[in-house]
Amino acid sequence: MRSVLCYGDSNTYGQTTANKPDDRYPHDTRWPGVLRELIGRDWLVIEEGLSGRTTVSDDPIEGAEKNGRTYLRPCIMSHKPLDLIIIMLGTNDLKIRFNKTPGEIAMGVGALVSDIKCMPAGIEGKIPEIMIVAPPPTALDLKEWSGVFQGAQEKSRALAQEYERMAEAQEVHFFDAGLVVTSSDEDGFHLDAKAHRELGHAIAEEIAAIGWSPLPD
Amino acid sequence: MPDMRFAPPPSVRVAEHPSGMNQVLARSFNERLIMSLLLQHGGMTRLQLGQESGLSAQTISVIVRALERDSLISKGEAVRGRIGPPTTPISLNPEGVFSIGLHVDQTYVEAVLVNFTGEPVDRRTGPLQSLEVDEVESALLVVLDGLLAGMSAEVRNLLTGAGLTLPRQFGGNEHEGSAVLNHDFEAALGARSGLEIFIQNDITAAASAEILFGQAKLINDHLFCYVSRDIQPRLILGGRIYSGSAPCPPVCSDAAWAALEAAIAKSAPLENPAVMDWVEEASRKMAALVEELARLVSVPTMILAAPVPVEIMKALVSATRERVPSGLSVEASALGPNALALGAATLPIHSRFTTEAG
Repeated sequence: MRSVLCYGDSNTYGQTTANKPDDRYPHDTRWPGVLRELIGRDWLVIEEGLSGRTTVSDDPIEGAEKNGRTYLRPCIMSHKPLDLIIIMLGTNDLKIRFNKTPGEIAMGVGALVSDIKCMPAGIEGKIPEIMIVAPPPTALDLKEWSGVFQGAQEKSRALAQEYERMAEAQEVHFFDAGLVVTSSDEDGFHLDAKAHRELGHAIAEEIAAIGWSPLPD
Repeated sequence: MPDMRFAPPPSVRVAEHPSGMNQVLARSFNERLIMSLLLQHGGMTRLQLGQESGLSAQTISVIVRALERDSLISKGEAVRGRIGPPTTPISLNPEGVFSIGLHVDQTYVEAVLVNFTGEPVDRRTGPLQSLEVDEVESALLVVLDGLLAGMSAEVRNLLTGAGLTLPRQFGGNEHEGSAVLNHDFEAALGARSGLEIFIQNDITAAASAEILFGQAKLINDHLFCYVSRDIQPRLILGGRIYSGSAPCPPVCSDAAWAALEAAIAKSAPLENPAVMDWVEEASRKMAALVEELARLVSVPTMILAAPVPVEIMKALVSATRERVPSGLSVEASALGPNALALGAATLPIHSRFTTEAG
């Protein structure tokens, strides 16, 4: 059995588009659940999504526990050995309070990749495969969140390119979620149930495309 | 000073086809390795590419993305994933690159346009009145112009270069022949086409085309023979092409060759004595060559190329099979009668997109 860690934010946690706190899609609706349904025979799919998680920043409002960097290490150590770590973060870094450019958000993702590469969390002490997933751009109308996400519409549209650049430099797998899903118009930045399903299917394909030698019996 | 470990990454390299960037873009060794494997094996999954190349899955992933951005590999069927479903192997995009081959023969010049997988797309020939340098050069420019005029702007932008092949020596007037061989065609052809020109001996280029695109893709050691008036052999060991310095004795006279060419133009050439004699004599000479070679080295396969139609080629292959030891398999070249021009067209592709020296 192989194992994959899905490390993300509210869009991995499965926060609904209803703009209600802790309103979560059922486990089989969220994209890691869709993934589990597709590849679960061979893979243990581990969900690690936290609403509000950033790449590398303590959130002055939401709390230090939103920092994706400080939690990454204990998280990986709790689940190792891992074959693959998927990182889909960056949407929360678009918040105006962090004042980051798209390139700096990608650098945050790059820092997480560097951290993983420093940990022998893979099989037999190797480094796990790493896949960076660029989150889809936000909707143009961010409703109640417009103030929090000031300028995010434009910045989020530059993320995929910056992430790909980072994936290239770090030599890791890359997937642009924006190719298959869009943020919901309901709240402007969450995935709806259909998008979770589409993303789960796409990630399953991307995982398979990496190419894995058959496991020994 | 900032901590350079956190310096912004370099921008993603993207070839801009409209400006012809693809031509000057040097591919990294690992990218060439992947393209060589795809040329050799056709479609391969990322897992297979990793196993064959010894590169990590993540490196393959980066290379595949880079080659895909430059349209050098074909996208899979799937709409969802960028890289395609696992069951769809990655393969070279035949329309990703084009190359021109120019060949000077005794009595004509030839130009071919081939795509990335070596398939001929267009072809022009022109007669040579003589082997004077000026005559040869202007004839080459005419066929080159014809080829360039016949292609779309898109294909023009995807040209990676032009190869020119010349024989080791010409028959007839020795002085004129050697003047042609010593002439610098690169300047005129390069200026006219704006392409980099690659020059090589015609038979060696055909043998290397056979390795890259033809019968010898998956064969390591073999004997390649180009047969016309004489036999021009190349020995291929471990992917390297060796040629001897002493010429093989001629198969037929110039007059007999002219009679064979005339017979080819008519119907039922196989019943023509000129053709029958040539097949007989060529197979006899090749059997003798194989026997001599066997004292030094044994190869499992022999590949024959000749500027003759398929049916005569078949006759030559079976006549040769009868005369050589049964352990030696004899095959016709996959390049067909225009092997020398195709060999020329292979030179730029070899040099720019594969790991082997051209």
